[in-house]
Amino acid sequence: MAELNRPKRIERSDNAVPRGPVRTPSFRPRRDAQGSCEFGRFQAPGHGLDLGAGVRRNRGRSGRCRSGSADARRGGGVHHVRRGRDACMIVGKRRRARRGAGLRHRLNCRRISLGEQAEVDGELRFRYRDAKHVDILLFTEHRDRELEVVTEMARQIRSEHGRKVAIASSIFRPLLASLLVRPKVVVSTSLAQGPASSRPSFRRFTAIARCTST
Amino acid sequence: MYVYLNWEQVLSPLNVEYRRPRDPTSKEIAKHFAWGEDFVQFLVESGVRSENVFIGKLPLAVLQQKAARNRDELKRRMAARFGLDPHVRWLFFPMTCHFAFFSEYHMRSRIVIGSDEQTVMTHGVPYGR
Repeated sequence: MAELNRPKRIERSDNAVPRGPVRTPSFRPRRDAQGSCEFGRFQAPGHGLDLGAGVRRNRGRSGRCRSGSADARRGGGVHHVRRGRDACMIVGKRRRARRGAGLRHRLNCRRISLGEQAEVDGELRFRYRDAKHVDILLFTEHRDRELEVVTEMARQIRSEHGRKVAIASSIFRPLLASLLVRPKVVVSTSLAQGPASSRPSFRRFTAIARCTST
Repeated sequence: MYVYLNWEQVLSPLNVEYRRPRDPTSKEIAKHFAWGEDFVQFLVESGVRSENVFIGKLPLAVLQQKAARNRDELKRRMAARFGLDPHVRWLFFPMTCHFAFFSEYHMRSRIVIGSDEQTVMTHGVPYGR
């Protein structure tokens, strides 16, 4: 019985487009009426960034999926996208961490799709992070006039130079981006000096690099 | 390594002080991209090391040039995306209404940073007045 309950390990290459539902381990085993234990939660393939207005479909005010919805059957979670004028964010779907979990556990709950273009709800979406250790991290500020250009730049950097790229918002959760991504080169689009600029993120990257190098 | 692409290099009396790099990271460590000699001069005058400034092209313009090689395909894609008629002639008017919607708070913030008060008040009328 213990063998059956053990979650299966999914081997997947970086360039492989995930096909079909991917079974990933959940944090607390759920038991059905028959008493069997289910470790897996089904996660839809390729959770790229969802920038559309339909991000919060089937979700309440808290952002979490409503029970009984298609997203809830796939495993629930919160699309980590801020609404607003310049909303854009690095990561795709954030799986639900248990209440009271620490910061590290919450960060480990975040998963980003690894496919080049992942098919979600019949649409091909862009991959916003290749890996944790990337060559170039592109900060972007404005969703309407910068993000499209930055994604095209990332495509060309990948295809023509074979580098790993990540795209992050310099406005929403840049601290999270600095914790999730270890880049060699940090690129900012703006020379802004305000709190929304990439300058605080530069300091964080420098601090993290100093901490990890010793 | 930190790189500034500097996408907003069109300087005006209203934002020239606002765009000026001030922190040590921008001046001594980061690499800067410029579209022309004017912005290079602006950066060097602001204290950026000249060896950290590189002249390149605007990425958006490079991508547009690539896309514009096949104009019919580009027009067809834009028509499908924005719901326009591809069989008529299009006239594009770029409009910069940024300063028209400045609030007094943002104007004051530029004055605090170092912009001339008279210039700010001349170029931008606070929105709502």
